[in-house]
Amino acid sequence: MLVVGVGNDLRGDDGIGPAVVRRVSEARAEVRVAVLLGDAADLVELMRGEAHVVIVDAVACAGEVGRIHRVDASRSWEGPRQPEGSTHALGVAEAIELARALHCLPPRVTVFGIEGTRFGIGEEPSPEVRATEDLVVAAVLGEMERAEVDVA
Amino acid sequence: MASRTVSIDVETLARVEGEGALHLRVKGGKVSDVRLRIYEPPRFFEAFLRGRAWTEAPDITARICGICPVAYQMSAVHAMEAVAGVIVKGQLRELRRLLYCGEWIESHTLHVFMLHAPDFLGYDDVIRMAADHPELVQRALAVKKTGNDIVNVVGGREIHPINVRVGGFYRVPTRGELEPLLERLKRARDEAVDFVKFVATLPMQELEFDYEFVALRHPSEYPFNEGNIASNKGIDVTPADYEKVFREQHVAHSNALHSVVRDRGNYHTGPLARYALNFDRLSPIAQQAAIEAGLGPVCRNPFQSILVRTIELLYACDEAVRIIEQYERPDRPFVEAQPKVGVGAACTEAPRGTLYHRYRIDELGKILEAKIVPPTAQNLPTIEDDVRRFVESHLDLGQNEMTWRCEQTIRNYDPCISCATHFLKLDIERED
Repeated sequence: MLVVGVGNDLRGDDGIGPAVVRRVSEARAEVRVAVLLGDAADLVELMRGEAHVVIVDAVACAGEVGRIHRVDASRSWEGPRQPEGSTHALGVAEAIELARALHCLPPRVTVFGIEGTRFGIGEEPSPEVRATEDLVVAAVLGEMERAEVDVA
Repeated sequence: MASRTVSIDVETLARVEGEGALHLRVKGGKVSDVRLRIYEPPRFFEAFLRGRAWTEAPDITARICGICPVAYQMSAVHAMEAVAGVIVKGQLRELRRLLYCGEWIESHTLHVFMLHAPDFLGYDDVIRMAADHPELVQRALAVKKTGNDIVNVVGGREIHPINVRVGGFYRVPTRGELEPLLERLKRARDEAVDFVKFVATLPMQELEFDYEFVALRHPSEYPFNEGNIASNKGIDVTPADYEKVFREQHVAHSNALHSVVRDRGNYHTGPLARYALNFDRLSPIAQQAAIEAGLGPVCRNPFQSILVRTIELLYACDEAVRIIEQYERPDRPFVEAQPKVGVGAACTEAPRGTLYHRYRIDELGKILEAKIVPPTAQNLPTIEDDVRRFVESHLDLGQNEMTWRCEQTIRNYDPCISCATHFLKLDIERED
């Protein structure tokens, strides 16, 4: 299994993905982890050949800071999407769809999106997002255990 | 002719909301208003850097952009070395060029194939393009990964390289660590030759502007880290004199400062400028590919930037091969540098143009002042002008095509609008 944290840990709530990845890595040293900042196109190559990928990313607040969304991206993407026409980089949803179009999407892809509100340079994460860290780490480890049960 | 008002709004819908937008208004065959509004992180980083140690600047500024961290690191270390009076030579210098090659390969491949080519081929995005051209996209991803792997091996890791320091590197790779990259880079170079041929066949807008091109020019190399700042209209100064020639001005509609040549106006930085000022410094394989693709030594069509970017991708692969083939591991990974009271400035060539850093530090190396001028801020007035001129010469276009071409015109510059993830939603309203 590969766990990818997307985000910039110098930008407040955007750092939740990297923070979770660090915690998962400490808890289960055998898990392959990666941190991505900026362009998510690299996800396509990172995910290639993996059986199960879990992605953790901050998302724009849709009403409740700290709300955790779980999206099963294996079949179709039903999570938040960027409007078309990025000037500069692909987003997580686009990278997943690109991998699907190229028939190299891993059989199991789970995305955890955490609604954030503070994204300024050098800002501290909001207490609501910080408070989700334990839950998200447990959820990611739970994905792993579920996968192990399925394999067994 | 009836007066027609066209209003175009490009609204940014990003993870970080309200960071940028394009507003364009056309009335009676003239663009009455064009405003590209952006949010600009370097201003925040400048404040964030004050009080930090001079040795921290490369790692902190690398966080400004997930796509061009090497550029930020390189401008930072060269500026600090200018204060300390240190010159990095030999294999350490070559390794810095190699690291930059990795970043250009990654960044140019991303932009050409994942973001810009769909515009030319009539796809909404690379996902739809991949459905029809899976092999092309797979090949581009493989080339991009070769660039990532250079940054990984030389820079310590792909995304925020951590191995760069004032005076050199924390650790330098062995020959054995670089050699596995060599065959892959040769394959990437072959692919890049094909990519140039492919990109040369894309349907192209015919449009030329008399830009002032600004880029580094070095006595013998296609520029990455060193050289004077030059232009096709007479500028030729060292980075220390950057602010004597260029100034930043506030504009009411944007957080970003707009850069202009003093007493003259807009200019253009990036691949077209580098190419125009340094065609004679490209390696033979890159020159030949450019000529065979129908490019002269100067290209003033902003839409052709996709082709020039691909030529630079080929050059970066070729240069990386050269550097690895001649590489001998240096005895020491860095040269000693001691802080001094003073000011240091540097420019290096980020994938999307010249990146200027200036720092003032005290005798202990504490940063007292930092100034960062990213290439996109320098290009903003020119992007606005291009949109204005494009729209004025294509008023007959239908609504959808006008929207699409406006986006494409902005994308010609690979603009790093905030170095966060950015998305544009573009609406056009027309009034007769």
